[in-house]
Amino acid sequence: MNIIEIKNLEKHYSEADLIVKAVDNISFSVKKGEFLVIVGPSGSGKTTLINLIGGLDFPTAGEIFVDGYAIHQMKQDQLTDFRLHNIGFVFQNYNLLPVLTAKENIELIMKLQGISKKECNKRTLDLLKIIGLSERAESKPSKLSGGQQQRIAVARSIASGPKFILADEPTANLDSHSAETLLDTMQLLNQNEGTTFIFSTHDPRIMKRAKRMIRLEDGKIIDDITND
Amino acid sequence: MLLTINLAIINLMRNKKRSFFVIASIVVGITGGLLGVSIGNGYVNQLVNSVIRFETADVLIHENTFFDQMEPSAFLKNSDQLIKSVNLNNGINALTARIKINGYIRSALSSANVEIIGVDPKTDRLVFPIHEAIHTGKGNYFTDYNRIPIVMGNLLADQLGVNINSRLVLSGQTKNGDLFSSVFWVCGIYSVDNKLFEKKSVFVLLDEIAVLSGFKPDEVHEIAIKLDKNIQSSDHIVSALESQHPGLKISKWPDIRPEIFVTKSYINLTLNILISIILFAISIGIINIMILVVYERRREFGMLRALGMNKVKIFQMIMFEIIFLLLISLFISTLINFTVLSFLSQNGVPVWSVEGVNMLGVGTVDRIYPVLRWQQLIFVTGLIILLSFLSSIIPTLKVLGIHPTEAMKN
Repeated sequence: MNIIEIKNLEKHYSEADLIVKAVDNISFSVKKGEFLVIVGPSGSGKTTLINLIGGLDFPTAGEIFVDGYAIHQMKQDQLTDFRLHNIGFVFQNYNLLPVLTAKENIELIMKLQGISKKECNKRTLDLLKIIGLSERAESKPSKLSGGQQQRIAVARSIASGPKFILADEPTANLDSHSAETLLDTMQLLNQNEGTTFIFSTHDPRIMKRAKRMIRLEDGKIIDDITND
Repeated sequence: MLLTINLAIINLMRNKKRSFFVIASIVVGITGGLLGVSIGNGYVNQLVNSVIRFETADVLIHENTFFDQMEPSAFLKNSDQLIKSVNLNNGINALTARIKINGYIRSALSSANVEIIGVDPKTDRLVFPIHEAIHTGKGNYFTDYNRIPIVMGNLLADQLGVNINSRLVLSGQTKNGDLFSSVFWVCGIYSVDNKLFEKKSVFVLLDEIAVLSGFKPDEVHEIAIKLDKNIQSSDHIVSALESQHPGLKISKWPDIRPEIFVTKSYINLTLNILISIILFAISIGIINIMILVVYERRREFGMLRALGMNKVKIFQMIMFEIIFLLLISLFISTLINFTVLSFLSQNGVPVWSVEGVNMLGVGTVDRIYPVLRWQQLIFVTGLIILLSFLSSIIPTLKVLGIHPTEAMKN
């Protein structure tokens, strides 16, 4: 079952008199439960593609369907609401709220969704257990290592029960050990919970674990490899 | 909404030093503004009260041309009948008839221009509390005297270098335009807030001045009326008297002392402008600080937008931060104001500390007792709440202008 369908997707930027084709006529689909990696050199269009799939940016042309919904036709406010209920994000810089504890950061999206306090609490404690940070529940992000912060960010992204998780260079700021621990956590969630992950990365450790790899160059797909 | 309130409170606590300075500056602004307003109110109230209590009473009746030239010849005839007729109106507490002549007073040391007021002490004390303004050791208000008595203000007595039982010569114009001159002895020395009044007004017995200036017993210059305490406005009595006595001039204090009325309006306007400027400055300060806050938390807001926090919630969060800042400031400044004003309304502010007010030239006071009206406090509170909404608009627009992809950038 396809969770994402992309048809003839284009994103152009104007720079002075020059038109830059960041994404150039791309089509592919993503099945539920995939562990997909988008790779390519800097400027190949990885982040632009992630932004388009995540409803953070509008395409110049083409169609994006997420779970059957045509998000390319949605307006800004509709997209905000759609992101809240359907997409999880993991950012390169973790982007946790510094004033909230680890537990509160995980609860944040659930609270925005209007989930009851009791349910929020239960899910958060479960997730903290899964990512192995139960004992750091009340710590502020500044007291956590980069790897721990990123695991909290993963827990936050998954807490709201999204259709898939978009991770933009999630290991770029992590040391080798932290990166491996984070990837173990994500792989575990993918295998046990069936969570769909889409990464944009340069990291060979992620590529090695990927079930599928799409290679971009100059905004075009030059390779789409499924690794069995 | 609970989430945004919670986040707003947490965000206020994240930079305690900044929040403290913002709150402190707002508190200083509001406290200073309200204290200024209270002193202004107190000054105006004291001036107006002093004018009403000692100079004009609630309503005055004069001959129609009395104020044109202030001539002694512009007098009321048949004052006894007039008083009886006026007394038939409801709401009148007391009346008194007076003769008023511009004159000249001389002592052995000095001289001065004065307004000579001829009074009947029995009725006059029911309308004007001059007798209450004579302190112990400073004589009396025509209750105990041996020779022709005169009561004068403390400032005038100082200027003339006289004291109780001192001898003075009083000159003035008679009803027919001739001059009279007679010797008086100081019987009492009064002291009131309105120093101009204290310096220029002298009181003599009505019978004495009537004989000296050639007036018959029922010929006077004015009838002063004190209304019952429960009468809030004298307007309807003025209207009634105007219709009953169309040939006479019925006045209230603003007609007699327009300069004080103008000053009162001017001070009220100035105070409103002062409050507006202070609140405007506060709102500009808040907008400035919140824009800085938005700039600092640009990535954070972008991330929240990316995660799915909608514009309404972002707006709520910024607005609550501002509202909490203002409410905390308002609470603290109200406490400070209440304490300071409670003290100052009892003890007064020495006039040397606000010397400029006496330079207005409409009256002088030694000490100002600040007064804050509830309406002004409610007005300021309401304006602050309104400002908090308005101040949150610009920072919120800045936040909403942040594109969610900001959060995805390095």
